[in-house]
Amino acid sequence: MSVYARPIARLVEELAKLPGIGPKTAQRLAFHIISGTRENAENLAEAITEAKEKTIYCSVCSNLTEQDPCPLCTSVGRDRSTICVVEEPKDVIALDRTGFKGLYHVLHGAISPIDGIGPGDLKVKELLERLKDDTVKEIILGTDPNVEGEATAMYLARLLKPLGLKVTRMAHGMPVGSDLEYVDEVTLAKALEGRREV
Amino acid sequence: MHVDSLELNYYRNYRKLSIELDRNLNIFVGDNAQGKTNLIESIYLLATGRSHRTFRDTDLITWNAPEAQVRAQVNTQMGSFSMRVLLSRNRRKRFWIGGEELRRQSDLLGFLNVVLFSPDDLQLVKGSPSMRRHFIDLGLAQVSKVYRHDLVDYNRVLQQRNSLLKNIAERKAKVDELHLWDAQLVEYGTRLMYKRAEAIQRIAGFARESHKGISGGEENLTIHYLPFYLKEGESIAETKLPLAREINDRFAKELESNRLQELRRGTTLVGPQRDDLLFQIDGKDARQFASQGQQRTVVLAIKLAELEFMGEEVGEYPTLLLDDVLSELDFSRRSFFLETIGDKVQTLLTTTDRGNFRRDELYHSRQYVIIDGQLASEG
Repeated sequence: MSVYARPIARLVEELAKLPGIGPKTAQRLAFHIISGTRENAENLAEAITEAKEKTIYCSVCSNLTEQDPCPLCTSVGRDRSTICVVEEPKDVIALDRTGFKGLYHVLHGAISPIDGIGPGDLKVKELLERLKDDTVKEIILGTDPNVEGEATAMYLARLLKPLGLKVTRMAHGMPVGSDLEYVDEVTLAKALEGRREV
Repeated sequence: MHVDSLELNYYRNYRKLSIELDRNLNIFVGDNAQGKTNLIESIYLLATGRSHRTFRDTDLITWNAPEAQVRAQVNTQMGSFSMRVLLSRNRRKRFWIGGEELRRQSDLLGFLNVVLFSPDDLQLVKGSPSMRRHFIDLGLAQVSKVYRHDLVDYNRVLQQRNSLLKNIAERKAKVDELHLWDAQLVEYGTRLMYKRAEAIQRIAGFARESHKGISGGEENLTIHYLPFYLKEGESIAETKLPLAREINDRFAKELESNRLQELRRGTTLVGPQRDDLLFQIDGKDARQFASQGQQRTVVLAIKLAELEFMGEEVGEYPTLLLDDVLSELDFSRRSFFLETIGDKVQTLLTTTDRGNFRRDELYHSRQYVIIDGQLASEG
């Protein structure tokens, strides 16, 4: 038997399903919501429903968007000859802060046989669709620097290179502004491996 | 490296224990089942994130208690810092260094290095190859962050590749997806194997010397690294280190020639997860010929060699944990051992009977009597 009233128990249970939220945090959030104003609670509920209802995949880059095609894909200020391929929508946000001016393509995942995810489960068909005319000259593979990200990058490289495109992989780098002696040895080893001629 | 103090709360049969440790020799005396090994285990847990006796962390929590805690103040060349492990019945275990929580268990390695010698290690010579791989992996993972990462990545690639082979067998994936994992398997695998070959070469040198000392110079111990691709009768000369290029090429070749077999069996059949070590005494395979006494001497020599190797890599010696093994040695072997570690290595050892030791051996030690999960006396 639960010590909560049933509606509270339901809220706690739903909140605890969210990533990074354990039972204790879920309980704290639930009590916070309940002790707040009715208006605040309705705003939150509405925001969740609206975000879910009005967010769709961009038919060009597969990023999450309210309008299709998304503002990034329709913007006139972007360099249409370069596409950076990433795993998740949040990666677009991170990369765009760097001032990168090209376009993006979101795969929605990485190849991972353990989770039953193969190349066919990623937004790859949509990427190939974008390469049908020859506007795009370079594909930057910006998948995560872990084993799944590397496998995915390798898959895309083998798929795209025969199309005559320039295919590049984002480098493992050193943190800017750091002293060499304080950089951890794994980062240092990877940076050394990915060295380039100057 | 030293553990200056140790505090246990609801750990195994210790409800509450707080002790200061000597920087040299610490001897824990007590009858069987009083909790001596639990103490050694708690230090091993701090160092590696897991017990050497069980995979079930809940076994480590006192019966009926919700959680257990191990805390220590550790002193290394990095400075003095606290280490803490918290084990709960229904949450994952958590680790702190100097008050800061670690994200992953593997981040714990390298802060407090240990060499453990327990009765199970006597199987090292004749037991399964996985024991010998674990021996080399734990030594290397503690002293090299790069090795640690390569090991984690390699095991992840291996898991993914095995899942893929299974998916292919169930027609849920295509054969040509294999090459996506092959390149990484060979890359990380080669790095592990190169490091192993190099480490074993150095450990072999140390072990030959200490083995001579223990056996009175009568026998010659050699240790060979056996990469998984080695064919029957082929052995890598102790003095010759294989080139990374060479390992890489043979790995790739083996992968290619085992492909059909792997598809049929649904699992990866090649790679460093199949490496082994070969111990020879005067040129003869110790697995087949060594007596109980000879095995004991070999393991002792290897543990001393690991201690030297890790000490040389890091610039300071690890803490040595001897669980119930020293008292079983005869006097001459034991005195060589104690003389070797001298006052340069912090040592924690357990014994059921102080009478096993000669008074002069215990002269510089700090002794603790353990009765039923409590410190009965010390001095």
